[in-house]
Amino acid sequence: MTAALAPPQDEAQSELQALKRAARARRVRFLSRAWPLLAILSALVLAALFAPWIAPNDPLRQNLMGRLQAPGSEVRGVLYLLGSDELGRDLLSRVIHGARVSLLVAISSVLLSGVVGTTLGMIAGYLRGWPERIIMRLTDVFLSIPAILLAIIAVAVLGPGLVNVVLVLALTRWPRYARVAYAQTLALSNAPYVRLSRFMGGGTVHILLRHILPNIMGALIVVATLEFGLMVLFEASLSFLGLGVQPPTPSWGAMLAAGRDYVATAWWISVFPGFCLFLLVLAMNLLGDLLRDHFDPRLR
Amino acid sequence: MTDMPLLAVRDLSVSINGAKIVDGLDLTVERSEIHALVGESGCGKSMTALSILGLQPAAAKIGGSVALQGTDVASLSRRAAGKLRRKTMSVIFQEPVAALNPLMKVGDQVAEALIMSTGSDRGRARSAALEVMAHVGISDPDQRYDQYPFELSGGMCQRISIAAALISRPQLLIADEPTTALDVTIQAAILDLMKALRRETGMGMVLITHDMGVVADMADRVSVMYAGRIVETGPLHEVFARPTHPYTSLLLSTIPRLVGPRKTELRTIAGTVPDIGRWPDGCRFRTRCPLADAACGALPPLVAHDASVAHLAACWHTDRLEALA
Repeated sequence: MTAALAPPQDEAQSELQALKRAARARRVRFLSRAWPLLAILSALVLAALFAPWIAPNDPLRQNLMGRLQAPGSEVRGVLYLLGSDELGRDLLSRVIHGARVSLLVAISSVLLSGVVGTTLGMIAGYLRGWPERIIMRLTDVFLSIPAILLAIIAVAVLGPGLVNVVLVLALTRWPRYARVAYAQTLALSNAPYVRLSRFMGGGTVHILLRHILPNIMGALIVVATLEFGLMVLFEASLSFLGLGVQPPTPSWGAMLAAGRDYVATAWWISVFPGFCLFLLVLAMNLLGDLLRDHFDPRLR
Repeated sequence: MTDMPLLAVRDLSVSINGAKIVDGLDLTVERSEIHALVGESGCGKSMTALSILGLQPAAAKIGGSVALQGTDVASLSRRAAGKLRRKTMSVIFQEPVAALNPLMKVGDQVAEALIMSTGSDRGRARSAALEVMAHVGISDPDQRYDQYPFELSGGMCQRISIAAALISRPQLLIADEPTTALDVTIQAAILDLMKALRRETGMGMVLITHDMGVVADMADRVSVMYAGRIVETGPLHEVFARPTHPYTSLLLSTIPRLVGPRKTELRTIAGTVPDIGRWPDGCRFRTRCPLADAACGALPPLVAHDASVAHLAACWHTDRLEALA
């Protein structure tokens, strides 16, 4: 094979330029709408990562003389910027440290359920036959049970604690990913390039990892962001019920629960962790919406 | 081996859930021969191609035989059959953009075809890919290699598909409507490229299309399919000059003429192709055929009707064909 058979063609150079411009415009539009959310999320992530250095006080140090201090009060040279709780612990430090638990639980359970659900969903959608029947009926069963109820029962059986909470959340939430991965894989498994790869002797693992997974990643990321907010709330709910992270480790959900008894006299104990939860979940959900728009080809 | 046809399909049938999509199909391709398979949508053309490639849906039941250079693929294990198919054949699909993975660099997709078929290493595959890309008329292959399908036009994507198909040096190319999705100038360029490649490599081709213009331009032999069966087959010139099946005859008469009286109504064939697998008994064209009568209740065999033994048609009323004109 030597000389070119057809003359070199300058096909649609301007079309290419237009496509590149459109892609850049989409990125700019996404960032211009998403930056406040990204700012909130990075602030929370930074707080979680550097909690020991940022927090002004030890979140576990009790001071019974300084119980239930209002925000801004000072007791024996210690400034309670956001007030103190029923044991005199600095609320600001506890809220900062609480971000660690929320983010750690949410990130690990999203990753775990995402990996499990996506793998099962892709297998069901690509292989069809009996794996499809078993996996998809299993997801139906899981989706028919209220997730929080299942989580409560599972934690009650396994016992509370950080690792168990993550495992339980992953166990209850993988069907969402499986459903999405299944539907997307089904649609892609007859795409010409998948057929071609199959013709060329591509094995199932090769096709799933190289051709299908990258192409369904967009949809899965959107599901993951929406699930992330839910995971934060689930962890808070479990901690609120005393089934999550155990005291004295600060967790926003457990702080909400503790503040419930004092809500009439010391509103700050519940309000600040609640506000953080609200910010995190809202930012994550809005980001999910924006990502969905960003990935939706119909809106391009 | 050399006197064996590249591809010999005998009595191929494909049925899905009891519906016969392809029924009793014979197809032969010799070296450097372009055999066009023509028909309306839903007549089983693409299913025929997929079955030859071994890519039929899992639910499909296949009958008959597919032989590549004299070796019946059904006689081999699945693995060996796949290997033989890969060694002998390549395929290009209809939608040039959809045929490529949107998230892989186009050059890698060409190179991967070689890596998977021969186990070549990445570096060698890359240089082979660049070479074959230049060969199919892609200007500046070095730069194109790292681009993604959405950055290229439809015609460019089809050239990439062709490059991926050619890199393993197949002896037989299955082209499923290779130019249907392209505009006419690009279509002409792609067809010229395919003809040039055939001339140069002696590659045989099954060209699946519904475009009679493409057939006239490209094919050596043509087989006309209707409702899962071949109704007429023969050398291009004989079929076009003296169609012996009413369907072929009507199909050719639907092509608008550039010469002759203007403002005549475009001719059509009344009715539509029957639903897949729910073909009428006997001759399947009889529900739409102006020549149909009681004799058509029996399925006509595919036999020669004129001097040429290569020109076959399946019709009881070949002698009354002039009545159509």
